[in-house]
Amino acid sequence: MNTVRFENPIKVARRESFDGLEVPQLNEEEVGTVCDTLMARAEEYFSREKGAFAKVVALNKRWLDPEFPFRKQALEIIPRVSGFSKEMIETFGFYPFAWTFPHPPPKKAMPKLKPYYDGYMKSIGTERVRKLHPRLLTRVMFGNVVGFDAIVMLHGIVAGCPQIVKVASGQPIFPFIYANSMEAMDPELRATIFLTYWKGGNTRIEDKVFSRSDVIDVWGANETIADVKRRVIPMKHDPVIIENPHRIGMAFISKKYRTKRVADLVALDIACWSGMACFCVKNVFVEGTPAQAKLFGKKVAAAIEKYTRAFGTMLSPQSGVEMLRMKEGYEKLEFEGKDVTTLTPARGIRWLVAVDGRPLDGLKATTPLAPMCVVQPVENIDDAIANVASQPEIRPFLEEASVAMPQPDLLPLAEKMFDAGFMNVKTAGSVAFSKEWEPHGGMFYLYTATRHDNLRWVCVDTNDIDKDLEKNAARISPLA
Amino acid sequence: MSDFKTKMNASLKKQFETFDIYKKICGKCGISTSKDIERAVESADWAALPAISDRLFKRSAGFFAKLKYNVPGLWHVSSSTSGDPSYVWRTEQDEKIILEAYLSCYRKPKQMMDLALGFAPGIGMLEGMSRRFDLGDGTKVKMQTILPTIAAESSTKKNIEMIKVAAGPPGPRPALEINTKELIAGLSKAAAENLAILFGASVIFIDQVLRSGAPLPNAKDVYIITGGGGWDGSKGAMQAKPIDRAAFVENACKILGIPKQEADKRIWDNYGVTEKAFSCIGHWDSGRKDYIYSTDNLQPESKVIALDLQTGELVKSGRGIIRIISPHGNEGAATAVMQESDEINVVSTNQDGSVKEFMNIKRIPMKNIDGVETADKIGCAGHLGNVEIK
Repeated sequence: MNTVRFENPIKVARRESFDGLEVPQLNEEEVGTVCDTLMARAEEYFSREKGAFAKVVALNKRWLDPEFPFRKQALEIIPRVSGFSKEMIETFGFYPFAWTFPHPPPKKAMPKLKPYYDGYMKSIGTERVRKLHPRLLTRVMFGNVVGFDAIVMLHGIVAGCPQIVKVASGQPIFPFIYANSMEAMDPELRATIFLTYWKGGNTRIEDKVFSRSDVIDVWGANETIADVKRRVIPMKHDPVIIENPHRIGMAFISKKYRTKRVADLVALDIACWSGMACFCVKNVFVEGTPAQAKLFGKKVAAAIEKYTRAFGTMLSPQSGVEMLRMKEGYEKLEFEGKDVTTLTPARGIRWLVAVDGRPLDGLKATTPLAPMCVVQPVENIDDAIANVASQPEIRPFLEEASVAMPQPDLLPLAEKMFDAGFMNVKTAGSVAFSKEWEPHGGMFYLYTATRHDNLRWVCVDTNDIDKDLEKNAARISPLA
Repeated sequence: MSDFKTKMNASLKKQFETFDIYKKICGKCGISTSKDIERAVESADWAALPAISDRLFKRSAGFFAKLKYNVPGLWHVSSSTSGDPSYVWRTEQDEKIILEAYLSCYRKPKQMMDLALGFAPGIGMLEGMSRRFDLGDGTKVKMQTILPTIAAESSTKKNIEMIKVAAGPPGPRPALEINTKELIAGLSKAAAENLAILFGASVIFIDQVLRSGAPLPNAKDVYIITGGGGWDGSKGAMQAKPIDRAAFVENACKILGIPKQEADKRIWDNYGVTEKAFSCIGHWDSGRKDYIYSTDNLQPESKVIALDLQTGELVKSGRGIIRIISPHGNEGAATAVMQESDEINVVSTNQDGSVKEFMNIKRIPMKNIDGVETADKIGCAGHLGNVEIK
């Protein structure tokens, strides 16, 4: 196999190889030079070029063209490197490239849930605005999804600041291919971004980089973030740390919506990105009896089987073991005669649905990074939310709530979900298809590097849930 | 159908018809009648045969009594490295088969050793330890490791126990020590009389001898057969540092005078499991720096397969979870197809996709859904106190 080498406009001495694909590896001694050069180039570029953001939006549109050479290259290389199938990347990964960000995010706090485009928006907390003019933004990148790793580069471009991006070892290549497409469009804009690999937790490099950075955007395990914070907080220049820790999604399904169509949509929220994204649903609460929840669970399982066949499953060895533990743990309960049903494929553990009909107890956040969920019956959705809310220890993990419920119930229940700690309340089948006005993780992409307001922004992604359910179902109809 | 398949079919059908749990497991694998089993066996689709997880035989799971045939026998119990031993009901015939399995392995390096140095608790000690696992219901309990110990003794002309209880006040977990005097005497005798001498059983004990720095007489015809795990440093209640296999072999050659070029013929490791009548021996491979376990001519006839966790398909090369399939030694319990919580690296396969050679056995750490981690290790030897070398 021929070696393919990816480069930055600023060259460094060492490279790391991933399956024959070489990417630059920053050395401790090179940090100063790279930062100085990058900052000088960014200052020069952004002081005269005011249309960088529009250029990137235009570039992203080109990524939607199946014939765009960089897209073709990505679809050839990324499945081999990342393990995600071509279908997975095309369906979910290129989706945000359609965003044009026509409207800026709200500039003032919205303490009450108010209509916002075709949904609702609210801010939680006391507004304390801090405007940032970062000299350097450093991002410790995620490797669990493809595509969004390009979109987050907008943080620095909107702020007009240089960016150092440490790519993830599990998925290091897509940012380079995207950056190459940027270079073909505007080499000087590309020169404001330095992509690199180093082994996560390498304090000698990281401390030097962080000491030059005003904004540090960290994606990863809670331990990784805690480690970065421990080292960065004592630094005198008081950088902003943007935390993107491990999170999970949950689904809440009202009795009227225990249908095959909704089961299909919930299954998509479970199986997208092979269950590895922070928004992927892991726990499903269904209004009804244990028998009704079991029936719904079977429909979800049938749909997950369909999706995992279409999009593939990517299990790391660790996730495989976690799935085995989960399977054997729930099967043990089942064999003991408890009201538990474990559903998996006849062979292997590509996916798993456990229907746990026992009364709600302390919730175990079911976290294997795989297409799996635990379905639990509840008398009403209020009970399920109250159960989640009663466990403050799981609050930091809550991301999206995928819902199917009558429109009149939506806003009152959404308020309770926000109080419990959820970020966005989304129509079932849409966790992987955010609307471009939605915040992510309580923040807006366009403000991440320039404006901190101490608020947690949350939203309901619909003002007509039945219409959006229909729309979401139509999006996946080719697989139905 | 071949004899193996006919017996396998009968064994699995009996298991299917007797045990509700197995019937449920079969249902989950798309097998709902005994005819389905027959079809899977007939087509030699080994990956399709529903397996019982070794976890179901753990005391904590509470199922071991539900996986027992109603026949005369006794409980075989594992060494409880995890603190959660396996219990498997075994008949007299099962025990004979297990004994044969170990014996056939121990005879692979050399048909009969002149002298064996047993670095493991002796049978008397193990019988005493077995009583700790008594269920209090009138049934008899035996540590399964007694059988490989008997097999080891049967494959040597003379056996010397190297492990003894250290002198001192009695306690709940007596300290053990190595019988250094006997060790030197045995090695001297082997050197003087040109005897084939075997260092057997616990890698933790043998490694401590090798690393003690004590000069040892060099015999000419030395073999090492370790077994029962312990490479990660834990065995029963014994705790030591993890043992690097290559360093162990290098040290053994140096201290015991084994020529390096003969290490592959003289240094072996045995892989056995409590839940299945199964034993498989592996020789050191200097090139791969690991033991290579061969399934050729296994006694009793068994198939070893490795499955991809995700797809459930047979692994032809690389890592997979191990399953052991055999119609033999299942009179007492539902053990015809066992899935062990061990991952192996498949080196080569047979024509039917079963594993021919494998290496790099690793225990899969298991955690129940309540989040309580069981630091489960490969294990079937002593549950005793600290080891001391004097």
